[in-house]
Amino acid sequence: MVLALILAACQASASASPTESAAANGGEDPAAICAADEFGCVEVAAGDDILIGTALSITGGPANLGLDSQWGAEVAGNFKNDEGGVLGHQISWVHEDAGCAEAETGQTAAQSLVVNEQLVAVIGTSCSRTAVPAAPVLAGLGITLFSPANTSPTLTDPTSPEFAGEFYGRTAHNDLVQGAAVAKFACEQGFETAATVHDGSTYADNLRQVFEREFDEQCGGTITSQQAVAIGEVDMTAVLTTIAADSPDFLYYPIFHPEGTLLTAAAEGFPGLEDTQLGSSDGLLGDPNFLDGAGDASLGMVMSGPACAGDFYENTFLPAYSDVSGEDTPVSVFHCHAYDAANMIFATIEEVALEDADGTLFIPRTAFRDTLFATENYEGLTGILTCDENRDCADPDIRVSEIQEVDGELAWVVIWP
Amino acid sequence: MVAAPREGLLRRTVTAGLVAGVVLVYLSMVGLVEAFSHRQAVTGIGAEAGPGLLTLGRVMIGGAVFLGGLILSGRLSQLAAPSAVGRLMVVGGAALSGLIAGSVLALFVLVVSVIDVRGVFLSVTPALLDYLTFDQGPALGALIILMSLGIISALAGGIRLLGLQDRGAVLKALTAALLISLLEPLLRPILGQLELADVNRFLYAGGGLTQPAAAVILGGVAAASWAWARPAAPLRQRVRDLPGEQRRMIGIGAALAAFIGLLILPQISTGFVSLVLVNVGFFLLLALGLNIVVGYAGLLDLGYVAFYAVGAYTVAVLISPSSSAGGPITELVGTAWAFWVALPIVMITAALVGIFIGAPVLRLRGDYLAIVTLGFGEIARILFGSDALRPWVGGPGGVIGLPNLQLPVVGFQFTSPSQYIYPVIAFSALAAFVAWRLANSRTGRAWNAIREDESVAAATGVNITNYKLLAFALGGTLGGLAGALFAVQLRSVYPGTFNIIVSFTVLAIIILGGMGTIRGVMVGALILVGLPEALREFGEYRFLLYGAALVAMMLLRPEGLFPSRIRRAELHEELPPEEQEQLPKSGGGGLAVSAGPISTYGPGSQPGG
Amino acid sequence: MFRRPRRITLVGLVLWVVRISVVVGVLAGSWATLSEGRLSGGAWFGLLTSGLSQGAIYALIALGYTLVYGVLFMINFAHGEVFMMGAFSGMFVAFGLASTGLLEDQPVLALLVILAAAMLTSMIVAVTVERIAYRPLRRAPRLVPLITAIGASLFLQYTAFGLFGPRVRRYPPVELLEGRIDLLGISITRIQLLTIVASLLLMIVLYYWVERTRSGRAMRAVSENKDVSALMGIDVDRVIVTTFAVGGLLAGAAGVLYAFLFNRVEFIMGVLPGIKAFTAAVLGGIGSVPGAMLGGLMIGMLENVGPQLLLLGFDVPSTNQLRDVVAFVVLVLVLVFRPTGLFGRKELI
Repeated sequence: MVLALILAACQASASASPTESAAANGGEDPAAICAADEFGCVEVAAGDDILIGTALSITGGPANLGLDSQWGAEVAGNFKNDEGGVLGHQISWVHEDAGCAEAETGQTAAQSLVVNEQLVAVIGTSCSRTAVPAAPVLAGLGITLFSPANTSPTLTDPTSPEFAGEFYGRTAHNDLVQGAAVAKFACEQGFETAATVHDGSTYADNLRQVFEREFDEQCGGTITSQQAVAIGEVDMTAVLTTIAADSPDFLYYPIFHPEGTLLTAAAEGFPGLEDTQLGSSDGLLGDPNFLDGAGDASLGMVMSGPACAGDFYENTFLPAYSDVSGEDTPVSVFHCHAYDAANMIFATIEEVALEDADGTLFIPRTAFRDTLFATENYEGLTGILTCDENRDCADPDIRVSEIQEVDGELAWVVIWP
Repeated sequence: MVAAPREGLLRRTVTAGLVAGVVLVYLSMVGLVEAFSHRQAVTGIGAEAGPGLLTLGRVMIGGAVFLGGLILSGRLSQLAAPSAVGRLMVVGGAALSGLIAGSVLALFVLVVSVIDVRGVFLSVTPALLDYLTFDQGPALGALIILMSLGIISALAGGIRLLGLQDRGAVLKALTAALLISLLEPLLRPILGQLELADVNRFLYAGGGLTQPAAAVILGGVAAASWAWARPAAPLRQRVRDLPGEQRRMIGIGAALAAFIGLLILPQISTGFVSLVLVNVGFFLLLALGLNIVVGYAGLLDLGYVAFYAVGAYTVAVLISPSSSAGGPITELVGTAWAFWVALPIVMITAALVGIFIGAPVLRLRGDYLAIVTLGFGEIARILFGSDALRPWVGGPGGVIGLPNLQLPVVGFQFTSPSQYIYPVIAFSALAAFVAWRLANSRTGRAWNAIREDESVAAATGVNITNYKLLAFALGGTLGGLAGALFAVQLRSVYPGTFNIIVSFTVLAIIILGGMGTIRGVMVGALILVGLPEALREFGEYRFLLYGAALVAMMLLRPEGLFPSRIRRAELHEELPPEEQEQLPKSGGGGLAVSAGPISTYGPGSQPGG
Repeated sequence: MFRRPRRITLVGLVLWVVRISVVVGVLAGSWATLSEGRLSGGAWFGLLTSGLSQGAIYALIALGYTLVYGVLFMINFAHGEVFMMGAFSGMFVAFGLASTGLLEDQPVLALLVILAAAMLTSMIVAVTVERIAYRPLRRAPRLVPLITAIGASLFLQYTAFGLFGPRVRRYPPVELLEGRIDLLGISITRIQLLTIVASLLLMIVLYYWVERTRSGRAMRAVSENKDVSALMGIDVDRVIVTTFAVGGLLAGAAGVLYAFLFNRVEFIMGVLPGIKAFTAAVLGGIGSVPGAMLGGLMIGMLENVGPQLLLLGFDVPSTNQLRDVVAFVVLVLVLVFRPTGLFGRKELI
């Protein structure tokens, strides 16, 4: 009899009773919540780190694109860790290379990542086509994929075969938004004709297609020619000759360095393009290599892109970015989006996580996803983010900047809207 | 006569040391050492807490010197007298070469610690220096490098002096330990899946082997190898004594067991492992196809990726509802049958493309043929991704939205790599079977004849044109099949996949593995595709490996690792007696470890020049 | 004499279809584009000068291919990488000179130094590859050195990747080379002019070397008949090394000019120019020095003018994407229909 009582007492104190855990979480029992969640919970034991993954294009030609996002996220993680982490747990990263040119590498990265069972979310991918196979792999285990750089409209379009599913969202703006913004700008400038150049990437191709469509719809603009350069293209003369034959008002090439840089440099003084306004988008926006390479040829060129500036950015974010990366200036354009994505993930964890009496954190996967994508009016570096029903969270505010000479140096100055 | 050998010895030793040193500096400058400097081979060596010292980068350096010492001491032991003095010379020579290699690397370290070359050579970072010098600074570090490499090389020399069985045992043990350590990213999750957590914990910690596990592997493999190789070994004797029939049965049984293991593997391992195997499978199919063109018929096709692209795009256009044609096959027979109905069409299309490519180039000689096919491959790549053909094949956006592969009557859908691996295995087995039958058929013999000497073959009545076209057509068919499988697994086709590197990779696989054998192709695919996929540290350096493999194979063993008997006879003329190492007695199978460049191309051409 | 009627083979039929479609395509495309008149005469001329300068560079590289082939009957697949290494080393020297100010103060001298450095590096790379990868395989069956060359090419590319990184670099700006110049009423950029002039000078020097000097004669002898040359006392090995060295020198110069012309240096920069230069060598007739020069210029011009001329008339978008196809199509057509090229010797095929 006594033995039984003692045993019962030992039992009770050995494990945290459901009522105790429930009390710690304001009346919710983690075990029950996790059981009810379709994909269960991530369990983070007391003293362990919270694992967040990244699947970005961190090697090869587009390495800057991926590394830049990775560093942006790491800066967010470092800031959070300095504050004591998320709910007392430090943030720890698992980085995988998702590649860019080939979709398979996205698949491989996702498969590598899911080996880590306690992954909460993945920030990625960089290039839209790698997200297509990666998203289902992660979604199959209830892991949310949150992209700082994918811009292809198909990823969040439920009617598209490339739809990335409900465990996918992004802080990067949809090409539909940016292309329309550029068209609006062009129309307001009174341009009537335009030519476009893409570089074979889905990003550039999508953007210029959206631009062409909107340019026509909004103000009846005509596209005089559609051209392309290959990644690795060296000679811009042929492309420019064909374009210059029609002397368009606006030449839009939403491509990257170095092709964009070379094109800009070659366009200077090119016969037939003297009155043509050159324009690009966030592939070149903010890229110091561009200013370096194009020099004075870039004066007067306009570029669209989300705004990421301000006191915090200049004086707090950028120095931290330099510390993490070893670079003086950012090497690409999506670091702010990655920073916002990371912070949104942290905030969501803080909101949905449950803790039991042992101090183990439970993060229900479906609840995490739902809460993340219900974010409204989040103030981030890239603006005010609100996730719409297709989980596009970016601030639709696209600015257009012009390259001007400021204090003897070339800089981007916002001129529109 | 007595003086000459000794001078020759010294010259060889110094050359070997210098070469090894240059290789070490190269590995450091190119960034390979750094790339592998983070993963531990055996954890916890030389450090009580935290990361140990025996990381893969150091294994690379030590391993290079070890191999060099082994090879050199092999030469030395042939030239030196079999006395105690001779033995001392062997070990001393090896040690000397190690010291020389070490001094080259040490010199590099010293120079770079003073002059910052990062403006030119990106990989020569302070971190690399710290790594090479064990964080002891340039001066002390140089000393450590010198001594450690000298010792390692001397050890190699000592191992060379052991009897054949003992040496074999030691080398096999080291290789086994290295392999098991390298394959940690694959094996650990597999063990986890199998719920063998205790084995897992025993074997691996912190990314590398645990010290006890390393000891067990080294000791166990060495003992087993020694026991097997002993002259009077009872077990091996028993196996040798078995009649040929029974031995064949054992061989077949072993192969069957391996095959069943392969079938079970996806179920017990992670999706990542399955994906690696699936990718190996695609390249295996491609290699089997190219093997027919290059290996059997002797037509060097450098644009093989064109067939891959044709297969992928054809199936995509035929079965994807969002393609330019709207997926007519899917509309016709539904998603379950779509792939299977489209497949014959794809294969016929690829065959036709093969004939179309082959027809104009039939009369061209070997290297011109190669370049023309290279041109075709590039034309395919550019056209498929171009805006000009966008209305048909989708331009940069490719073709997306392919339905899953399905088994019609059963109603099973393949969704994950661990499921796709079965169709891949099935098709690979089918392709291997077809290739094997072809090799031993009349067609195969005709191809042999054409490859050996075209004019003689024509004189004996072989219709050169038809057989060459047949090779192109069949090779193209297999390539198209691989492309179709690839497309349906990824459920999308983008032009970026079909570049020249794919052609070169497939070529490297059959060159490395051995043209003309299925086994060789399998090994080649595993090494050249499986290994870099599994070892993510490789990254882009895998292409460095391909290039080095191609050059090395051509210089040392052009018939490949597992050549067919015919090929080896073709490519290896009489080996000068003093260069002859132990060649395997059994034909067409064993891996002969040749020590150094063997003069393979006739008497009179010196290996060293 | 009784003439047996020729059989119509499938292959023959395919070849005739190809011949006819090429001719028809070229004529139809050109007519459509020119009649539309979208590009002005000045525009066409700009394309031509562009093609001329690029072609000059291809010619320099093609000479390396043709010389080596004449002597060894092998395609030095790694020659594109020799070119790439020259461009890289020239870049480092250029930046070094820029930081000391010499590039600005004495641009002509600086350019000569850069060229010399690049040519020297390329020469060393070419000779080293020959020594390590090709010499042991002198007597091997034809395909073996080709495969080795492919391996060497890959190896060199990714060595450059490891050493210098994947980032695309450029040369420092040189004021002397910026802007356009008006020569005899023709507007051409300075760098294009420099490229054409420098290439012509080098080609003249090479021609002189091949025709007039002793080592050039020895090289021609070896390419005629290796064994007889050896019997006549010519050191064949030395000649071969010299050939590789000369090819390397030219490729190094080409690397610098290319980098200045296009302002783009990366580890894979040698792949396409290498193949196109080889096409040029084949077009001109492999083994023929004037053939390589002419072939290079032709490929350059065909590449720049071709896609626009043939396709603009049909409103094909992004004709520029297909410029590389031009070189490959030319390669295929030449090898299929006239493997000896323009000036080639029949025995070499």
